[in-house]
Amino acid sequence: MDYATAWFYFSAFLLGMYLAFDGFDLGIGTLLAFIKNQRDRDVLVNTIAPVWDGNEVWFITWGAGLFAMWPALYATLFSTFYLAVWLLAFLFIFRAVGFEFRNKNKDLWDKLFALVSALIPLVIGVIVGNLVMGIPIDAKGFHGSLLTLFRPYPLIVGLFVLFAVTWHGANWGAYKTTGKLQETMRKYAFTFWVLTVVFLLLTVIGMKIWAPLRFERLMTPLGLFLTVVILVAGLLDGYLIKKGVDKLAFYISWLAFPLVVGLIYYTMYPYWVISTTDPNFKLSIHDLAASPLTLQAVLGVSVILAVIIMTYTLYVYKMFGGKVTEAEGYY
Amino acid sequence: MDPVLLSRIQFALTAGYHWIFVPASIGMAFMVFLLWTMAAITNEEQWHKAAKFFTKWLGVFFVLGVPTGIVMEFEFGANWANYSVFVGSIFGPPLMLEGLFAFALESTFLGVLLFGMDRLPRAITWISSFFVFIGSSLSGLWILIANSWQQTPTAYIIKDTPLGPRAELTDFMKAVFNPLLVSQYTHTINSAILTGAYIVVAVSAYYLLKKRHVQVARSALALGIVVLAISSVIQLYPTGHEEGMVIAKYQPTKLAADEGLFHTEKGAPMVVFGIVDEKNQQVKYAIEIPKLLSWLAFGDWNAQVLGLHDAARYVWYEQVLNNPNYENEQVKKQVIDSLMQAYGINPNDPQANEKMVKVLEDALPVAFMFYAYRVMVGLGTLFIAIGGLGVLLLLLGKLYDARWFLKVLVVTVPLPWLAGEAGWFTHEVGRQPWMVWGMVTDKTGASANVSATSVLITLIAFVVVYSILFYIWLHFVRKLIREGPEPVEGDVTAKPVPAVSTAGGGQ
Repeated sequence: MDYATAWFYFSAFLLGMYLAFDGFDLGIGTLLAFIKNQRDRDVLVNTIAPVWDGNEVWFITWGAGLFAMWPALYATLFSTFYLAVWLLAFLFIFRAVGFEFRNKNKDLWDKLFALVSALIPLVIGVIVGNLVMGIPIDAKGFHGSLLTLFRPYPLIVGLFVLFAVTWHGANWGAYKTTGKLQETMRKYAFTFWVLTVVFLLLTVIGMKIWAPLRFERLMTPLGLFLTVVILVAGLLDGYLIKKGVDKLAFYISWLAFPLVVGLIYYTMYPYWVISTTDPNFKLSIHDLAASPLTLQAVLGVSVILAVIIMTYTLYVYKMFGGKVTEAEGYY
Repeated sequence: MDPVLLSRIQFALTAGYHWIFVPASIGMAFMVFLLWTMAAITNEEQWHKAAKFFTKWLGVFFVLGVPTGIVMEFEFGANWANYSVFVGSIFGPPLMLEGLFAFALESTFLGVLLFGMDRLPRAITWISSFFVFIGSSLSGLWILIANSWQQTPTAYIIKDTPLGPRAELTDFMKAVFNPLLVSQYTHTINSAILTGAYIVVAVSAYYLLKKRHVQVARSALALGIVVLAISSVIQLYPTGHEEGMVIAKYQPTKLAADEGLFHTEKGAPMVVFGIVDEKNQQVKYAIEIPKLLSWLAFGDWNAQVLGLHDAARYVWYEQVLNNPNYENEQVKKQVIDSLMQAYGINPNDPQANEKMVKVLEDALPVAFMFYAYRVMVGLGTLFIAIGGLGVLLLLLGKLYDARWFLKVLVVTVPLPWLAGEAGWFTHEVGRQPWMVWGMVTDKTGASANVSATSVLITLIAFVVVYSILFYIWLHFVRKLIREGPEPVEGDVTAKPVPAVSTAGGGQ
């Protein structure tokens, strides 16, 4: 495997880790919109309070990885979708602030926080959907507007990611809480599990219609195998939720994200960018890559560090293990 | 409107705002680590309470440090796309390693500290505070590796690629240890520690003045004043001095503008203060120390220091035209021609080179930098005086009762930030017009396809959002001060006193 390919899949791993870790706290954030009881909302927020900051590391690292290893891709995407990118940045700002400062006016902040928590996965899904589907671009540049981003297929992928993290968040909620709140969480876990499965199928069907090149890759043996694994794991999760096996249900939804992102990356390989208007215009991960020494110099150490981070992160999660029942914040 | 100018304003605003929270976070991480260490060594209650209290302060700085940092990562791609393509292969890896090496450590264990300090074993709390400090200072290290490389680029070659000319690494470690790194890093981290110590002493002094939480405040004040005194001296020598010497050698235009030196001189004096007259190229009413600048910059009383015009000539002819780090003459011509064209200069004009020298010269707002530099150095000197006086009072056993001195500490608490921002201005404005020294200017590095309207929209959004954030943040700082540390057993002053009954009021 060449270095660009290794980085491509490492990038998939980083995004997968981001959605697996920050995914459930985004999901909890989104679920606040459905929880009327103030105390219950406090308990839910306390389940994620110690860890959400660390979870965002994976996103920053994924973004910086794109910048470092495919600077031309990073620059093109960010400057082309300038306003959408800043929308995402402001969402992150509001989330961090809403999180820490919600004690000031809980009803207002919780609504804002839920909205922001839902929009982040939606926008990330839309961006990924655009990479999958391709954009109207050719040698002369990009031919579209901000609205180009929000075409039907990217929106389907965006909703898929939103529902998936909400399902994941509800799994976490059921795992970390007790009593009536736990029951409510299981109910939402099931609802969003159904939505996730439906939108996963729509994502695959949509790929056939709107992204035939990617669909071809999906239909290879490895692509099909991964799809089946994800489907089986997903279906199993619905069963576990119904049975109330919360911990295992959470582990499976956790594992689903790296798998799904891995599959999506696999279908895109080796083209970061394909054109929807010019069938011959494609930019591969090799075309856009940073210099060979850059790709080479940082890969080994990055992989080792990712393993170390995983280790101490899991240790910290263990430290804060167990059910959360109290409702006070630290300020 | 000019999108490049708007992007510059936006970058200055977002970076300057980020810079409110960064030094405070790093410095407070160091102080918190010291406080937890004192708590572990003495096992006395007031140290534990102080450590817990200031850990919360670290939390409120960190909260805004993180998202305002993400903003800057986005900005490189969104506003400065051409720059990102040109140096992404070199500038990107440190950013990525910052996430993996440092930011992960810092944010994970800050979570442990904030949420675990009441329920986890004390050994874990202490080690977490250590990880948070290490993480935050490593974070600064990687960011400053990226920043210092742009100021004094090393170990690269500019190649022509299908994506256009760009700088590529030739030696990773040599690029990391570029000439500016060590002095810039130590100077910056030390300034952060000074800021953290200042916050601790000011908050403690406030409580002593109000006669609240006296036991905790005395301990924290004593520790803080010692750190303040030491860091304020280190800030001047060796770190500040070292950085100045590197800049004199590699960025002569920056030095000339900082010092208001318009004309090349042998045995150049150090101007303590004066009024800059940019039009007539002189500093009026200058109070000078003869030959000191030559000695500070080059370690030789009679060394020649380049004035602004000669420095700009030197940069253009020696550092740009004679830059050996090009793959071939063709790509060199391509980069240099595009630099000239960005400023409306025809590369075939026989006067082209002299016109570029003028561009470099005019890019530097000398008066602004001259004053900003003096604010930084002046405040640095003041900090040495305050720190030294504090330690003297501590040794004489009068620190806690010297109300006038405690008042000084409280009212001067914004000054470390002012000094930090002034330092940041002299450093970053001083590289104008270069984004990457000798290769990319703000005009050649900006995104070509982003309209002025788009940048204006986000710029306005930043002003609005950041203002709201600052207001909310201040609210939480006030709340922290009001609540104070947890009471220490037997300390009758620990309970918050209602504002009306406080002598002199003023809450």
